[in-house]
Parts: sequence; C-alpha cells; structure tokens
Amino acid sequence: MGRRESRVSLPATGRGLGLLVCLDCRLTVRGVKLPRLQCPRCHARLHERKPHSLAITTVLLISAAVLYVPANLLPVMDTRTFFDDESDTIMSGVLVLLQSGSWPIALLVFIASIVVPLLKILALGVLLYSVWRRSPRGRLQRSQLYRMVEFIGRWSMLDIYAISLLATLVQVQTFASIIVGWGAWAFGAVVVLTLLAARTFDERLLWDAPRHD
Amino acid sequence: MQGVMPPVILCPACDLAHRRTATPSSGRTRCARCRAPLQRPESAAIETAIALGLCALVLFWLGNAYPLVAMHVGGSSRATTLMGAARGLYDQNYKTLGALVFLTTVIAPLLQVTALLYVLIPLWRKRTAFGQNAVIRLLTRVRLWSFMEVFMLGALVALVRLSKFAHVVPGIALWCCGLLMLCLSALASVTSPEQLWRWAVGSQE
Amino acid sequence: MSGFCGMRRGMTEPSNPGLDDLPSAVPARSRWGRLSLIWVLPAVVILAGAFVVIHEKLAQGISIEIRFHNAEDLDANKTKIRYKDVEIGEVTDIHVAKDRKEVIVTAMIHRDSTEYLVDDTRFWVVRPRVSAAGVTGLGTLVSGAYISIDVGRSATRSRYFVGLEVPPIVTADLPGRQFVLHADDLGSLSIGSLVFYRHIVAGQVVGYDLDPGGAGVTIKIFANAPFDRFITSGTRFWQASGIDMSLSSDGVKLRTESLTSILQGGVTFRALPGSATTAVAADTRFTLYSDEDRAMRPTETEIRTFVMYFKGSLRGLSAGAPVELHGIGVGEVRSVDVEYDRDAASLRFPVVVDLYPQRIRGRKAGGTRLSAAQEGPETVSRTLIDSLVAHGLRAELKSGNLLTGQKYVDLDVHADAPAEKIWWKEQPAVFPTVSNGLDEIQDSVAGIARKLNKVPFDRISVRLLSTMTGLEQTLKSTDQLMRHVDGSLAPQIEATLAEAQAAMKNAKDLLAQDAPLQSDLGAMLLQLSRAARSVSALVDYLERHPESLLRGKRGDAP
Repeated sequence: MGRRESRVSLPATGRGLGLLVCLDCRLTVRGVKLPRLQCPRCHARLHERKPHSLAITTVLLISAAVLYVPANLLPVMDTRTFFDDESDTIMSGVLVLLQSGSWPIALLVFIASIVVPLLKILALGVLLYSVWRRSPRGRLQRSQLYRMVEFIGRWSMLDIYAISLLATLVQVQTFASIIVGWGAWAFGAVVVLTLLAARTFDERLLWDAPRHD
Repeated sequence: MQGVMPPVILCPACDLAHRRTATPSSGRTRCARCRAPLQRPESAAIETAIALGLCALVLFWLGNAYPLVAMHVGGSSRATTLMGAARGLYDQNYKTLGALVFLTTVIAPLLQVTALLYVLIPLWRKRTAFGQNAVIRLLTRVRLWSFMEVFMLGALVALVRLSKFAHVVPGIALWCCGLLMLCLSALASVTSPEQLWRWAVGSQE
Repeated sequence: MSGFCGMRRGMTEPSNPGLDDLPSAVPARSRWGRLSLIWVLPAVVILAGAFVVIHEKLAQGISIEIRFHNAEDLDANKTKIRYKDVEIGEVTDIHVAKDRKEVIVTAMIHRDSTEYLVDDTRFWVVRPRVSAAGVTGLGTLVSGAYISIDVGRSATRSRYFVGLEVPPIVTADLPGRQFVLHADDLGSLSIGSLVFYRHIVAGQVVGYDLDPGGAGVTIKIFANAPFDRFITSGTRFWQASGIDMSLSSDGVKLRTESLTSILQGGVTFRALPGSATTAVAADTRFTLYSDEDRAMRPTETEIRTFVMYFKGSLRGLSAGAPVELHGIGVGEVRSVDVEYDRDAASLRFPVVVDLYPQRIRGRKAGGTRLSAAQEGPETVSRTLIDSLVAHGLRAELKSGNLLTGQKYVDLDVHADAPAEKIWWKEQPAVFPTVSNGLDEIQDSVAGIARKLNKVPFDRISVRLLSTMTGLEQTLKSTDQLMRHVDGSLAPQIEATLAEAQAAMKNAKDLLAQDAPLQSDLGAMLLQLSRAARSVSALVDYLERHPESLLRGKRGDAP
C-alpha cells in the first residue's frame, strides 16, 4: 500500500524522548533510569545503544584487516597428486578456474572471497571513521552502506564451504589428495570477524551526529 | 504492558520516533529518515509456519543422512555427507574451521527449525511452550548464523572444480539441501520477529 | 483479541445509512474442513522423504565380515571391494577381534552383487606383491589397496569369511583343470612354478604336501585351458627345473627348459609317443619323473631278468647302464654284484640285467604283436631269445664313453661263438657272454711287454755289433775269394759242372723206370707238397688273424 510517513518538525529520537527499542523483539518501551533494563516482552537486555559498540567493532575490524593479509598470501589449498604438489591461494584458485574455462565461477569466487571481505573491511572502516569524526554528511548513504555490509557478509563463507567439500572428497591416497592450508583458517577468521564487527556496530551511531540544516 | 501496542515506534536503525500506524495488509512501512523497514504485513496463519517448519525438518534430515555428492576418479570413488564435509576439515586439524562449517550448516538450521516448531506448535494449540520467550530470542539470533544458501553456492563451486578431473554425481542430499534452503527462506519471511511476538503475545490473551 | 487479524475496523469509510440494512457476508467455510491447504506441502515432503528412505534401504546391500591377520592398507569407508575391477562394495568398519588374533573387517556389498557371497568365495587384499609369479598389484600404488574377490561355486550363502593372506594362484573362474602329481621330492619347485607344454606356459603349481608317512611329495598343479586337453592317460610329467646335465655312456647332455624354470623350477609334460590318449578326469594322479629320459621310457609290459658273467673288470658299469642291440636300447643293467662261488672257491661278479623282449620283437616282427596274442608272450619271447642265442647272440661289455669310462652291455651276433643255451630253469637265467677282445689285447700286450722287458737288448746289441764287423770282414774275404774263383777256379768249376751234368743224366736214367728210388722220391715229393699246402694254409690264416700268433686260434671259450 505504500509508505506511511510520520512527519515531525524536529527529529524526535528515542534518546530525546526517553524511549528504548528492544532489538530482539522490536518493541518500543519507555525508558527507565535504572542501570540494567529488560524488555517486558522478551526479557532481553535493553540498551540505548549497543554497549561499547565503537570499541569492540574497531578491535574486531583491525583483527580482520590484519588477518586479511595472510588469508590471501598463505595457500588455502594444497593439491597433491602423483606427479606434483600444487599450492593454491585464493587468487591462484580463481586463476585456475579462469584457465579451466569456467569464468562465471571464477568471477563468483573472486567477488565472494576477495572483493567482498575487502569491501566489508573498508566499508566498516569508513563507517567507524565517520562516527568517530561525527561527520554528518551522507548519513543515508552510510546507512545503506552498512546494510549492504550486513547483507553480503555471509556470502564470503562460500569459499570455505567449497574447500571443505574438496578437501573431504579428494582423498584418493597417492592419486590425489587435498590438504587445507593456513590461508583457509585465516580467511575463515576474517569472515567471522567481519560478521561480528558488523553485528556489534550500532547503526544508530551513524545518525547520532548533528544534522546540518 | 502486553496486549497494548504503544503509539510510538522507534526505528531500530536510526532511533527516530514514529507514530504507530495500523499494520499494513501488504508491503511494509519504512523509517522516514533512514528507510529501514519498520513494520511488516501480517503474515499467513500459524499453520503455514508450522507446515514449512515440518518440511524443513524432513528436508534437513534427508539432507544430512545421505551423501551430498559422489566423486569417481581413477577407478575409486568417494562420497561425503554434509557433516562429513565439516568432519573433513576437523580431521585435517582445522578444528575451528570444521566447527564453523558444522555450526553454520547443521546446528544453526536445526536449531532454527526445532526452536520454531517448539514454540509454534503449542501456540497453534493455544498453549505456551515452556521458556517460550527465551526460545524465540534464541531462534531469532540463531537465524542470523544459518548460511544454507551460501553453502549451496559453495557446493556449486566445489562441484565445478571437481568435475574438471573427476566424474561427479550429485547425491540426493544435495537436492534436499537446496530445497531446505528455499524452505528456510520462506520460513524466515513468514516468521519475522514481530510476527512471532504477535503470535506469542496473542496466545496469552 | 482485537486488531490482530483480518480486517481492520479503523480503515472503513464512514458508513452510508443505506448500507446498514444490507446483510453482511459471512465467512466461508473451507471445503476441506479444518485442514488448511498448506498441510499438503509437508505431507508431500514427508512422503517423498519416506520414498527416498525406503528406496535407499531396499537398494542397500548386505553387510559381511571378513577376517584378516591385520588391517594393513585397509581404511574404513575408503577401501573398496572389487570383482574384476568393478566396485561391488566398501569397507565400513575395521576392528580387532576379541581373541586379538585377527582383525574383523566389516564391509557393505552392493545389492546386485550379493549373489557372489557363497561360502567358498575368497577375499584377499590387493597390494603390491613380489612372488614367484612376478610383481603384482602395482596399480594399487596409485589407486590405493583394495580387496578382491574370487566368487566360489557353492550354492550355500554366507556372510562370514576368512580372508586369504596371499592371492590365490588360480581363481575359480579360470578355465582349466587341476591334476595331482607324485614325486620323491619337491626338487626346485615352489608354489607358482610354471608348467610347460612344448615350452609354452600351460599352468602353474598351486600347492604341495608331504605324503602322510613322509615317503614322497604330492604336488597339485593347475593346467589352463586349452592345454589341459593335452593331458591324457599317456602323458608323462617330469621336472624341467634348472639345468639338466647328465653324464652317461651316451655322452654329456645339457638340457634346459626356460629361463624361468631355471630360476624357480618347473614341470613339463608330453604325451608318450605311441601311447594311448584317452582323456582323463581332473585330479587324476600322475608320477612326476626327475628328468625327461626317465619320463619318456616306454612302459615295459614284459621284463626278462638275466644274469651275466663277464671276464675282466666291471669298472665303469653302473646300475642303469643300457643294454643295446646294435645300438638300440633293449634293456637295462639292474645291478652289479659280487658272488662267492663256494664250489669253485672263487669270486664271481653277476651282472643282473633286465631285458625287454618286446622291443626286440617289435623291431624284428615289424611291430606286429599277433604272435604274442596267439601263443602267449612268455613262450614267444623265450622262443625268440633261444633262437637268437642259437644264432650267436652274446653279451659283451663295451666301453661307451672313453671320456668317462662308462661301460654298457652290447648284444651282438657272433657267428663263430661256441654254442650256448639258456637254461630257463635257473632264475634268473644266465645269458651267454663273450669276452671283450680289447681286454685280451690288453693282456697280450702286457705279456709282450713283459717278454720284451726280459730280452737283454743291451747285450744283444753289443754282440750284434761284433757280428756285424765279423760279417763285414767275411764279405771282404768272400769278395776276394770270388775274384779268385772267377780267375782261377772258374775253369775248374766248369769242368766239375760238366761232370755233375753227366752224373745227373745217369741218375735220370736210373730214375726213369719204376725204380724204388723213384717211388721213394715220389712219396717224398708228395709229402713235400702236403707240407707246402699246410704251410700256405697257415700263412693264409695268419694273414686273416695275425693276432693268433699271439693268442692262439679262436674258439677258446671258457
């Protein structure tokens, strides 16, 4: 049916009105001046903003950024055949796919395993920076950026699942066997850390900065 | 405060206060400032959710009990189940990675579906499951870690890579996992948190 | 219960008075009763799932257990079971048996292969192996070890098996037949040793056992089709192992079968020429001979044993030496003994000989056996031998091989041998022999040598020298005398001669009539001519038999 918009002359935020919203059940409740608050409906802990959001997110993000380097430099997969021993990083795996002719899959892996994590890290970095700087510009865009980060986060896992299947199946003794490399571990860590970082980041911080009129 | 819907809705994305309007019959309401989704339409009956949940359960069981894919190369063949793939990582001493795969493809979907059924079936019968609120909370959180659709895509990539040098035969479990993925997404759209709480609270009237 | 489902009252337009009278629609009852259509979905899914489960259960195979000594190269859920290289199952579990002596391997066999699981089906692990048959199983280096199966022929099903530690030599589906050989010892054979027919590999030794009682070895061989057809009642088997070198009166012989048989031993078979070739059943027993000669000896249905006494040394005559008639083997020396003859108070050396009269008869009568059938073999051979001996058939010891000094018995017809007869009543009968000329020559030469030794050649030579010198002088003086004669004596001699002539004439006249002197002379001349004749006969004889000067005339039979 279309949107119903409520127009108020001054943005009335929950903070300003003394209201809280439960992030689990999305119930809006009246805030009470007590240190620990609980949602009346679902009994989840209530916070005005996610506690220590900035700090935790920053820590997670930095860890993810640090691990991103070995995730791409260390081999994720070691293919041992009767004749030789091939080590593949994520990038070389993409190239192998490209060379063997399946370029859509190569593109998919490239996007999911190289572009997306980088994008997430950069995006979260930008967001954190903007919050830190209390920059009021482009809040909508930043919000949309955040939502994109949250949405695509999970798709980076796809290479991990592919590796797990390959490593489990290709164990034909001396003919061919696939050994998982440390790059895969680092990569998994990057994915999890960025997922957690996106989750611990409180979106509302983006809108807390004063708006220029 | 149950049973009475407050007149104000706070946007969980930007903390803006909105006047509550009636729940739309279709489409959804969005935040005035940040366009985040606010309210969702009333969804189908609780039976739909339960039916989908049962389907998901059956599909989950089929998807795990049988091999996902069989590979034939050089006269020998290998096959693995979903849990076997996680186990493969675990066996190669990547215990955390194996646990991660196991969590996101086996535990999360299972918990998601069983928790849902645990809560909804009593609700359907106008009763309240024990610890219902906690379970619903668990359900909504676990749902965030269920990556079945990502797994399907990852499996596709793996199959393509394997088919380059071996004869690959998808097993029955692969199709079941695909259907499970569809089922879970249908389930998620039917059982949004607000809807769940509506049912939950509604039954307590 | 307000405001949560269905229509919202707040949304309706302000009511039109006229419409209040209208009846309201009533909610329609679902045709399916209380069941909503959504339940079809899980129902379908559940049915499909049940279908899948049942299908899988039906297609599931049978679980079997195989016992091995250890689980080397076997992995649960990895190792496959293959029949003719087609995968028919997989190992699902491996654990140590309760008695800790074995390992129990549980495997799942596909449903369509369960008919192979009979109680004489055999399982073994295929991995790289080096054996008498060569290196096998190299492919498993690449593909990993697997368990192979040899399907048995029994009709009883089974699910519990004891695995073989070594692959079987012959599998149940290999065409061919098994046979049993008996030998004194195993020789250089082993399991896997090859069986040859005309130098082609025709089979393998599959097993051997010591006879109960330890008196010999029973060897089982498997002859592949189509070679097993050539094994008939007249087939002989012999060990073709290694290098067969024999040193006999025939000389040195070197025989080998093939390089493989040199390394690991082998068995050869061939049909005996001229023997019956009736087909034989599997597992028929045959004798395994130690070499070709022994194997190829035709079976003698008739053996006549004789004893022979030879003069001279029996050195070089051994048991097994051949008895030949004009170079053809007709018998064999069985033994050489020593006998003390009490009557004559001397030692005798009987040589026991086996003769095969059939061979002689066969050759003489052109291979026909009619006479034997009619008259009986015993009588016929006696008659044969008697007639031969009457014609002078004698046994003689001859040197077969100067190199080795081996001797053999030679039968030959000696026309001027003294008459002999075989006394059949003695058992074994004595066969007449002649002495070996060479021996006598040796003796005579030895005698001559002795005589020559005695002659004082040194003294003779001295005397000869002096005689020679004297003779020379005599000749000189004679020569002078002759000249003298020519000169002075000659006319005197002439006169003497004339007188002699006249005297002769008188004598002739005297002898002209029948004078007793004449007849005396005649008789004397007759005697003279007789003597001359016998001298010429003697000379003739001496020409023919010069050796008789040394050893007297022939006919001195002992």
